[in-house]
Amino acid sequence: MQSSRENTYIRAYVLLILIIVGAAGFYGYKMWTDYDFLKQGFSKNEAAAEALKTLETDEQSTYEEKKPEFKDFTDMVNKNIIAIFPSDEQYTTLTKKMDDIEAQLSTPSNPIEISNITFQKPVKIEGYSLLPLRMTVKSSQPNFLKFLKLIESSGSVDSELRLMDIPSIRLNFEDIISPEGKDNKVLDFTVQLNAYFQ
Amino acid sequence: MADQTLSSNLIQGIVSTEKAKTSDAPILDKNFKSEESELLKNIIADDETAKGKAEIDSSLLIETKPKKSVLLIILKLVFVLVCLASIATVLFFTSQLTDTFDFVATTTNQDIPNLSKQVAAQNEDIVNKQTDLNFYRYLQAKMYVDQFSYYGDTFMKNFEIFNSKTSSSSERKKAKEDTVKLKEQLSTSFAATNEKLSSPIYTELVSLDYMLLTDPEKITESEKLFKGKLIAKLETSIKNLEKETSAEAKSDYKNYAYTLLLAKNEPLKKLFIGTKFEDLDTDQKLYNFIKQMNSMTVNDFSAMQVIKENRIRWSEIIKEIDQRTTAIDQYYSKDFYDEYGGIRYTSYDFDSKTGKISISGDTKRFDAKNFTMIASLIEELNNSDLFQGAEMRSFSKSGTVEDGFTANIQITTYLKSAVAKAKIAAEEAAKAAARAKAAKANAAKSAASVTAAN
Repeated sequence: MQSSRENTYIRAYVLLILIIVGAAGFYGYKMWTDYDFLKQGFSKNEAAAEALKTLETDEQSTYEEKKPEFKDFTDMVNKNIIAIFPSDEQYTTLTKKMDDIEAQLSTPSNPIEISNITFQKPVKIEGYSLLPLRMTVKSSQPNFLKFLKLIESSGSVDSELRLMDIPSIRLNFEDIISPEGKDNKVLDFTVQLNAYFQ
Repeated sequence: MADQTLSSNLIQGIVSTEKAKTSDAPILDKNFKSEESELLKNIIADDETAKGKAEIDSSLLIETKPKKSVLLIILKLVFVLVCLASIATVLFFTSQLTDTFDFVATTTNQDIPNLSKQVAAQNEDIVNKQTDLNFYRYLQAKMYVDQFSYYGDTFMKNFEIFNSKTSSSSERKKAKEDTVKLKEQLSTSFAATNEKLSSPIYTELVSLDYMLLTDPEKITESEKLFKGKLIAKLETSIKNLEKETSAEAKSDYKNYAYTLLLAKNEPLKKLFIGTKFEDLDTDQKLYNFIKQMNSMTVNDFSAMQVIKENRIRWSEIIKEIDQRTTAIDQYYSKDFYDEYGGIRYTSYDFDSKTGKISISGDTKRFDAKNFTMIASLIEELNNSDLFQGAEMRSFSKSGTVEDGFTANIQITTYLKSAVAKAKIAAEEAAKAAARAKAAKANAAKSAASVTAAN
């Protein structure tokens, strides 16, 4: 009787131990896998953080080193951009520029004469604004083409000429006698321009 | 009472006999002992049933307790140990991998090491370091993109001069020389931009969801995370400088703002990473690349580029009219009009909005074939790549054989590019109108169904 009870206890204990060992083993294995992964990851992270620190310090130093160079470049670009794409209409600067163009192109045999400039009200468009202006010009044919080319290449960072385009031109051909007595073709043209600003 | 004494004496006698037997014969078998014990129990039971209480000398019974099994004791011990070990395992892993025991640390004010948290802290540190690294990389990349745009702008201008029909040979020569120099600068800026943008924005993080970066989906996820962090850092930097008034702060503010746009500009990044500068081996390819890049970039250059792309090069149009006219009148522009006749223009009218070009002038012929000349001019203009729809519906001439015959020219034609743009704009407007109409119809339908439901 006693022996039978003991055997029952033994069997029960063995079963319980097996169940607990099994469950704990499964749980432990699963947790150990995660733990081991994290443990290895911890070491890996330490190395990665160290490497990143070095990289970040290097990159920051490179940036700080180049910052003055970048700043000079940005200042130069900004200066050019302000000239070609100003922050407001700046019609007085543009008027002076037109006088400069006339002085630069005009010669006795190859004249160009801007007789009228009329600025209209600025128009705001998505992303930028434009200042419409109408000009009446009398010019030789070569100077007329030069004038057109100047406007067409305006707004380039190396030209320092304000960004403009020509929506319409009306030109009339005239024959005049030059001071040297030569028969020159003179163009009388009215040009509608758009000068852009930010 | 007499019964009780009798029973007690009997028990004592039996026990004494039993004890004597045990001491005299120690090798008695267990079964015999067991039978006697049973007998003893029965006697006690009978005695108690008889409501008599016998006094038991319990010291005599000590030796009679059954011996416990060693195996059972060991098993019990093992069981206890296993239970303890299991509890310890659960406690250990719970403390290391979860935040269940945080309250203990809070209550006791003691720092309990937790591997999971340590790794999380490391991950956060790595994310911050990588974000800082990306921050400085993108600030530099932005500068190189600006340099590329700047040199690109001049390159495009020179490329256009070189390819323009109206450029003189000296202008072309200079433009070519400049493009060669600019290509070197563009190559340097391109390489620097590419280096900064192609460096990975992300790094591998250790976490229990196994963020292995061999999986493209995980890479995208990781890239998203780090990109978000970079954008957040730039936005914070911009916000911090918003109220600053110093020149440097203003410059940094603009710098960060454009860097933020670059960080968000995935197509531009892909364009740079996906292009090899060596593949841009012709000026045309490089020109197209810069144009494409400008269309994707948001900076001052890109806004200007849009305007430049839309403007009409009137000098080339005038040159084209001259060339087409020379094909019909070989003496055109040589001032032989009065002497040999030919074509003479008196006015042009150009309108970029409609693309309409009106040409007025005269023809002079001594053979009276003025109409043929004008008709040929119309055909020639229509053969041009720049024009379409050149026409003049009314012809009239006057004159004599001696003085020559003159006829007026009143030709209208249209710029192909302007017509194409107008067509696209009209199509887009029509689509927008159709969408608006459909939306209005849907709204009316919804309103009707709501009314019906009510």
